[in-house]
Amino acid sequence: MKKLFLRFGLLVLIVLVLSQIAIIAMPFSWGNIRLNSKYESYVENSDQYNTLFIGASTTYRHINPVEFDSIVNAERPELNIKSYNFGIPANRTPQSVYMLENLIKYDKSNLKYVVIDLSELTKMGADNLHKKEMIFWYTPNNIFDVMKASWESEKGITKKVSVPGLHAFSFCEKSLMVGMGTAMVQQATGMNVDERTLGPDKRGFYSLDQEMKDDPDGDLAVRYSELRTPDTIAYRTKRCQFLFDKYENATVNPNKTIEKNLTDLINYCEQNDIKLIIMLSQRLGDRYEYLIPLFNQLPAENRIGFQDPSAYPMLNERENLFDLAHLNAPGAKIFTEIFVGEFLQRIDMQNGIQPAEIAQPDSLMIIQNTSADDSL
Amino acid sequence: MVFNSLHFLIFLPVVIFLYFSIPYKWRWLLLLFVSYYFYMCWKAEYAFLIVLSTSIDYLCGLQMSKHEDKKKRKPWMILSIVMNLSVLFLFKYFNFFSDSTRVVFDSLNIFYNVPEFKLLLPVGLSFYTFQAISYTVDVYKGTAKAEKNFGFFATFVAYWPQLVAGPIQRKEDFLPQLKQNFDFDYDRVKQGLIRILYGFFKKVVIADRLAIFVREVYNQPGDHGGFAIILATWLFAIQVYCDFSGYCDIAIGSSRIMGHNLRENFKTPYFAKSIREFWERWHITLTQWVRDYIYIPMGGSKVSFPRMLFNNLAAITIMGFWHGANWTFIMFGFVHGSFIVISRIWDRYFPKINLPTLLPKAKWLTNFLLMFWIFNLTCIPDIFFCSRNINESWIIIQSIFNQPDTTWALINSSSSAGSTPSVIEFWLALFFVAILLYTDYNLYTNKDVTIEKRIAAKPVYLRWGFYVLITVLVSWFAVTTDSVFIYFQF
Repeated sequence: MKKLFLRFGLLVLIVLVLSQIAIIAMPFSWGNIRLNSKYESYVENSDQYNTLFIGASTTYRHINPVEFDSIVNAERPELNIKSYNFGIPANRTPQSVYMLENLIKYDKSNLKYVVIDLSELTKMGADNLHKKEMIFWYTPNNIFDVMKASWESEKGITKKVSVPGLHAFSFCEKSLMVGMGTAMVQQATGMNVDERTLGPDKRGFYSLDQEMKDDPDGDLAVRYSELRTPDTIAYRTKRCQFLFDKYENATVNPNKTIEKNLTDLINYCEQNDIKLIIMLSQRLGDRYEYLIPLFNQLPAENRIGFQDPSAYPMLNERENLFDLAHLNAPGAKIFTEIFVGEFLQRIDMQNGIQPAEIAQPDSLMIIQNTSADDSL
Repeated sequence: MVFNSLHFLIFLPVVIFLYFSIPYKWRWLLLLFVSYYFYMCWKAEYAFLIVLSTSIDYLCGLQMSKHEDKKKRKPWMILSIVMNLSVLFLFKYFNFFSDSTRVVFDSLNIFYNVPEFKLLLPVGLSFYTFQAISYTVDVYKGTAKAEKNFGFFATFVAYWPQLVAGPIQRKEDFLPQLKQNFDFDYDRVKQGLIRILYGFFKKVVIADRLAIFVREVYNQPGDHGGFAIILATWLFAIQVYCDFSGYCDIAIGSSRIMGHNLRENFKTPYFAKSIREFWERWHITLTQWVRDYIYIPMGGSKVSFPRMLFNNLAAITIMGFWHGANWTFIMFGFVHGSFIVISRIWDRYFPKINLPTLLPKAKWLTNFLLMFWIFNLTCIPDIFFCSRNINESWIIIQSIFNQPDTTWALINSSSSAGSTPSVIEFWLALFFVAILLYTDYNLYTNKDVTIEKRIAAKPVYLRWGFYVLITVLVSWFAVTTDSVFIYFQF
């Protein structure tokens, strides 16, 4: 039996080495066609962009770089902003960190501002097993952190064991490239690109209603019709508000590992003369329970919070929503405009200018006043 | 539990470790326990059907062994067959017959109010039922001795590698192996593992990849037309072969590790040069079962020529119906049976009109043409096999001629991976099919050689090259979406 184990071990080792060679030979983005499409487009013009938005679908669908650039450059022409949206659906926070590290590694010379949108931290369900999009970004370093973070934040011994266990299993799968051969061949043949992901402006923003218009038979039409009823929107907003109120002042953050990673990332960006801002969008489900305590630990000049539904009522109005979790194109326009004000404020704070001294952009004042009236 | 699951990847080494760790006199007990566990992972309560079938067949066998006179044995055999077929009828065929009767009654304006029997079809019911029937019939005929030990008999019926989809075993072949002591043998275990790996290659790399294109056509009949349907049917023929023979390879390999030899179920069927040869190579254990327990009792070939043709047609049609309670499977069997009938008539009346006689100097070409011809013939009944109902079968057949060709759209349609362009999947699938054909051709030209024996005969660098290649292919190119084996539904 010993002979069998030894030879089986040798076989696994050879396959592991071959898999690692294949992984090393590919760009960091290969496992997610959307990310890879954005990365390849970004690489072609990376010298033009100085601002990146990294995050999940709330980044992808909400921040319009063209809109953002035009407002910021009108307010502060000296910043000469040109931004690019790296939002990827279902991106988790550790994955966003991984992306930024790799983008900095690729070329940091032109990069000045980066916004990371906080999303899922460590959640891993069995239904995500084998999905390369969920696991391609695992490295020996970040898998250890993710497992540690899962252990810290999950409740109950079953979850504390099963979630890190699923991550560990997925890491083994990724290490042996289980089921990832097709993506590798696609990458090697230059077919790992989906141009639609870049959106109409080729800047990585693609509003949901635009995508639904482009693909009327897709899943989005169903999501749009099923989820966008006034009752469900009202319930969702109420629930979101309830959870926000519950965790608004939470100071004890169980996710020490992720907190440390984000703090290290802020420092790393500072060393590279990049201003990093961490954003928290409105989130559904039980995410506030762990996102808000984490968010509250971050330095004020490095964070922007949109988590309070009552602070931005217009973002919860039916005509600005596409579904329960995302804004439509007009909603995204409003969000981008609000976001600009907050962004500039944090940049100023990082430059040592206090908030009281900062005047809000005119456009933002109008929106906030209007929505305050509407909410009454 | 399915073989292509994480559950099985844990189950197999644990079972093997325990199997070789305990004294051999208790191994049957371990096998019995894990076999029921294996089955109950799917639906625990249906294990009682196996217990019921096992108990009655065991008792019937014991009773038959007490009598030398066949007349006294007969009631016990009939009891066993009736009981087994009743369970099969109730769970598998009742609704089919009830629905068909309803259609007839409705057309005659007669009120028919028999409710539908809403129960899931127990996985593998047709397989273990046929295995149990073969036991009682063999005991009745005196070709097998009744098993006295209930534990061994129960293990024979429920033996996990072949419980849910065969290969269907015969008592005299298999049960004695359960009583033998097999020590851990490196070469045998290695051969078992190679067979398992090759089975996984067929299932998760080829069959599940081809399924992407087959589903696209057969799940939306009428959406595709022209050559796209022919292509999808070719792909289905290879898919079902890889799916089922892949399952059998994993079952045979798992058994080989423990020292047990299961009967082979496939011998490179798509290299057959006649339809009868195809059935000697395809699902061999079922074909032999039908031959021994249906065709020969009907008179087989020792009757008049027309009667023999009828026997052929009836036996193959029943075999088709065995697959499932649907007119599609009856048509599948009927069309195959018709081909056999035609081939027998042809051989009898036109023995000199055949390709080898017409092209005597081009053996390789005649072989290739015959193989391609037989492959295409077997694809015709596959249209029924793959369709969900008989109406869809007709729509698909008509779409070959009526609808515009959609081959390019099929190749470029969305795959299981969503946004993955399936043109890559398509060419990958063809590449893997080419590997399969090369391997199968090697096995075909070396009669009675299995893949593991063929590999074992190679020099060390080629052996290791094969191990690494097949492991890399299975690991990297496995289609990891959930899928069950096609034959589990039968």
